[in-house]
Amino acid sequence: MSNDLFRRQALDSLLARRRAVLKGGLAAAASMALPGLAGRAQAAPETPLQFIGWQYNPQIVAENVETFKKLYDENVNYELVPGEYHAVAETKLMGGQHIDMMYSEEDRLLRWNAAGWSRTLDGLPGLDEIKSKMYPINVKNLSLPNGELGGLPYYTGFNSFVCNEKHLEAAKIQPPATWEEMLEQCRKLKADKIAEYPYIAAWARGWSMMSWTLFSQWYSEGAKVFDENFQPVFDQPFRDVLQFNRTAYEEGLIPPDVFTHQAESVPNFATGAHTYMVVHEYDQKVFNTPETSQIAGACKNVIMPGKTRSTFLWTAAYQMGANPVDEERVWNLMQFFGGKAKDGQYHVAKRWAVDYGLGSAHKEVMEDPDVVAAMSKWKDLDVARKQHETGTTRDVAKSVWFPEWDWYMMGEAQDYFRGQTSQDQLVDRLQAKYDELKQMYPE
Amino acid sequence: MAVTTAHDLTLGDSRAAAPPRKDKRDWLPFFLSFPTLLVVFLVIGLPLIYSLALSLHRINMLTRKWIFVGLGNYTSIIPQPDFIAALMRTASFAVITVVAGLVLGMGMALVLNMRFPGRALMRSVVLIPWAMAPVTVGVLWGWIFDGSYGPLNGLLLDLGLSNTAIPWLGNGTTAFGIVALVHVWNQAPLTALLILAGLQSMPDNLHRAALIDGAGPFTRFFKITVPWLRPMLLLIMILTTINSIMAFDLFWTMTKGGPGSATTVFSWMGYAYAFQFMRMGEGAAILYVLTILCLVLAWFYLKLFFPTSAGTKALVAAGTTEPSDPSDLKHAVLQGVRHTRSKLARLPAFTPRATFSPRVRRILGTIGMWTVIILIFVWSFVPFAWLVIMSLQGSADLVRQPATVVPGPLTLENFRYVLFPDTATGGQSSVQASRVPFGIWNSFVVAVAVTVVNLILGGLAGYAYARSGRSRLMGSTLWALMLTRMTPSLALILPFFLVFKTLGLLDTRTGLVIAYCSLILPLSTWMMKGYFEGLPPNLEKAALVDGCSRMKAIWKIVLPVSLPGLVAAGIFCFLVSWNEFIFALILTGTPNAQTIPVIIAGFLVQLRFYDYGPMFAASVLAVIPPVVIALLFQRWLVSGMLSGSIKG
Repeated sequence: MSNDLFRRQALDSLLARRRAVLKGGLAAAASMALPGLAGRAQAAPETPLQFIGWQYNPQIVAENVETFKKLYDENVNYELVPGEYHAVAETKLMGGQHIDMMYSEEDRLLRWNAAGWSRTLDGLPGLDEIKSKMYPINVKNLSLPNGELGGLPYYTGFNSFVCNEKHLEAAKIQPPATWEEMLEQCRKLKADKIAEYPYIAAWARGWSMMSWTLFSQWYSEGAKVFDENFQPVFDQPFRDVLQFNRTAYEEGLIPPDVFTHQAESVPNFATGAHTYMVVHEYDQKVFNTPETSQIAGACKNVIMPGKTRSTFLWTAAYQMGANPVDEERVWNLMQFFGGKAKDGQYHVAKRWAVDYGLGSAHKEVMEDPDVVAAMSKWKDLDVARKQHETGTTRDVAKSVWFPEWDWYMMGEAQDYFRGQTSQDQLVDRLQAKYDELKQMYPE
Repeated sequence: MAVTTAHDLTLGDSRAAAPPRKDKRDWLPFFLSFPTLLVVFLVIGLPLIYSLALSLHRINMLTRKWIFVGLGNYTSIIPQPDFIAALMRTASFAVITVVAGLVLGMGMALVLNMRFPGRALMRSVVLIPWAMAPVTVGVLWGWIFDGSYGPLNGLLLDLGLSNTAIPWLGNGTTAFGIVALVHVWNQAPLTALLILAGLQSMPDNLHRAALIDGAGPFTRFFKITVPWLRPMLLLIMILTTINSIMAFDLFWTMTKGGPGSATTVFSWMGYAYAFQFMRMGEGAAILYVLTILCLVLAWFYLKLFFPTSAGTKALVAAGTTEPSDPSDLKHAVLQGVRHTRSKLARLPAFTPRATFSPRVRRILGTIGMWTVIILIFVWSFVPFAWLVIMSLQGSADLVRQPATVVPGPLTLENFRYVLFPDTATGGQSSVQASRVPFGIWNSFVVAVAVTVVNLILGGLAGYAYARSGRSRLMGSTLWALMLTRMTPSLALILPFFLVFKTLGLLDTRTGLVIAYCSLILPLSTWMMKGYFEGLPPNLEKAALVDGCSRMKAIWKIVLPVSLPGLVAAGIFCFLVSWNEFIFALILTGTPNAQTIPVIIAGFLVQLRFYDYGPMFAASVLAVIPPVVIALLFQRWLVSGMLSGSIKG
């Protein structure tokens, strides 16, 4: 498999040498003598397209790159960023590294565009047709404030509310409809010694962790957080959610070390020690797969508690570098990964959906019988569809300053939950940070 | 009462005793040190200037606006409550880890200096934590203290000492203490090694004479051992303080500055400003405050260890014509020993103690000694052994609840998965695993190259500084070299990236070698300088009389007798290079150059249930080469450090 992953000559040569030693095969020795020739189409352009991405099942990404190369007679360098993706990627972009296509969350669409590191897609051939086949909410999600499309969809997801049915049966309770009800249930689960920590969520300081969890809860409770003009709205629902989390922490209903949990707390829930979790919907596949979970078959998705029952919905993107090495080639790469390939297949989106449960922004993919069959095995698809329909996108993420505010917010929220600050202090600080950033990044 | 002085027991200070002399300017030392200076100042100089410029500007990297604010970044950040809090945490972390590391390292060194069966093995074992990369250390200890399925909780539950798993990292103070503990675990062996080197250089007759005088162990320790080790302690304090103040990898791996801001120290704050907020100006300013802190503390330590007449004056050597040279330890120790001679001479009067008979005392002593030896073994080896055990566990057995310390069935599947990903079955991941062999290979190539370059350039420069440390030019350049060591790596990363991109060195092993050489050369030069100072100049003089040229004398005479020093410096370079993380993270992007700490960090970012086993297997593979080197060469390491540091 490794041989398919990286095509640069030195690496091929090294890999070939290792295999030659291991297998003692003459053929491998021959490939060592002619590094880089095997498997590469002669017509592949000499200059590779540069593609960087974060650390989610990169072996599949690498295989997809290989499929693209064969289908298009192309040459691509896939760079995997092992650290904190956006921080490392911005350092590289700032340093002037050439990148043709890059992963990004929606909160980097405008930021990278404004910085001149990426470009919008308007004017590229076939874009209107692509947009017409996407869910409108995802098109909106990927559009910049000026209406231009900032990238093609990598996948779309939302935070789901999942339950450990074994615990529900033991406690003889139904999933909660409000956060207050959930608090009461957690107290009972703890008192009955069914779960030491009934609730768990991704609370570590990371863009896909505490931020996504809190925004899901805020939207489910009807908090706007930021209005249409991106002005803060730290209203009562906003405060109620904060108070709920603080209470859960103070009463020991959530693991006290949840702030430092790795891997979005997913392995913790998979042990079966917890009852409820706010989690990325695709992780339910992990929970319901025997090889990766101790509660396989007992993890059920339900609609989020709260006054609106909404959740946070996002669309991860492939952005095109501001100066693509060849616009047509890069557009081909983007369409292959973020849409339909020239053979009419959704190679990448469908594979993510079938094998890993990642939602797609393309209606055709989500309606594909293979995808429906695969997803039905590990989640209640009707509930998931209903939750998707009520999802809320985080429009404020398309402001230049938001990632900084978001990162700051997570640290301050952690301190508030730990009882280090009062709610008023927290809100004041969040407001002050907003004011500071608005001054730093004037419109 | 017998009178014992250090004067007639130690080293004759031929240099100090010799009258100052105006020699004809000798350019050879400068030429020998020139390559090192060139590498360090070319590679670090530009980034240093760039990052200093950053700290004087308010920069919006997105809008590309650079506004000169002078010291504005410093003055705006310093009064902020977050900054003050981070300063206090950094200071606390430094004090706790330096003191604890010193006490622990001293204890380990004292034990390892005693004669007991298996001493050589123990000397190797204590080096294991130091040989491990901080990233690996963070992974290991993060797991040990995991609040859900960590082995420490498993042990407590299995022994019935606790009813529920304890969320160790959930409490801010506890989390801070745990990171400090882990830092001490990682760094104390270096302290022990240096102190052991100092202890080995101490003449036996000092203690024997004191014993005859009736001095007890505590008296001898505080009146003889500690004064003797004073120059070494100065070095240790400076090194460990810099390491503590600039610690980053452990926070990155274990807590990310949390919970909340409980473990947000300066280095993490600087990282957050510079790389999370992309506010390079403020980030650089925060990181330069670290540099200033290091300088102030280094000065403070000098004052503390060598006050007044034997203090900085001692380091100025001839006083009127020479620049201060804090790293001139040989001179410092001689001055220090001279200064404390009177203290050494006045041992307390003999007071026979009769609490226990000699036989009972001997038995108690033996029991005490072996208890301490076992504790040191447990402290140093058991966490490492647990890492190995975890690497031999299936992923499902690693996350059992309730936690238990009893291992599940052992399997080599994780290693097969990492080393031969083509043949492994059942897992869903990962490219990360398949990159492990490449990471190890890259780390090895880079570390070997860095070691070779450092030995050659650092050796030449070290020799030059040893033989002409009194020259104003050489003294100044040595100072400047050492100053580069006090700049946090984080402050240099962006400028490094820009320079390397221009030179086409990004994502290459060559780039890493150049970066690491520039970072490590000051220390290897200093180590080698110390070593060469220990060699009598008469060696070369005799060779010159016999008709050798200067270079031939170095090659034929100096080099062969320098082997222990070269080995010690080489191991040091290898380990530092092997374990470096943050530069490798930013300057590399593909398996062409990614080193093993980066690969292990990659496991942590999107860790899934099925990745735990391979991650621990990768961690074990990552520590094998440095641990083997530490085990094989510990003897030379001790003797090299011994000679390189204080032997005259």
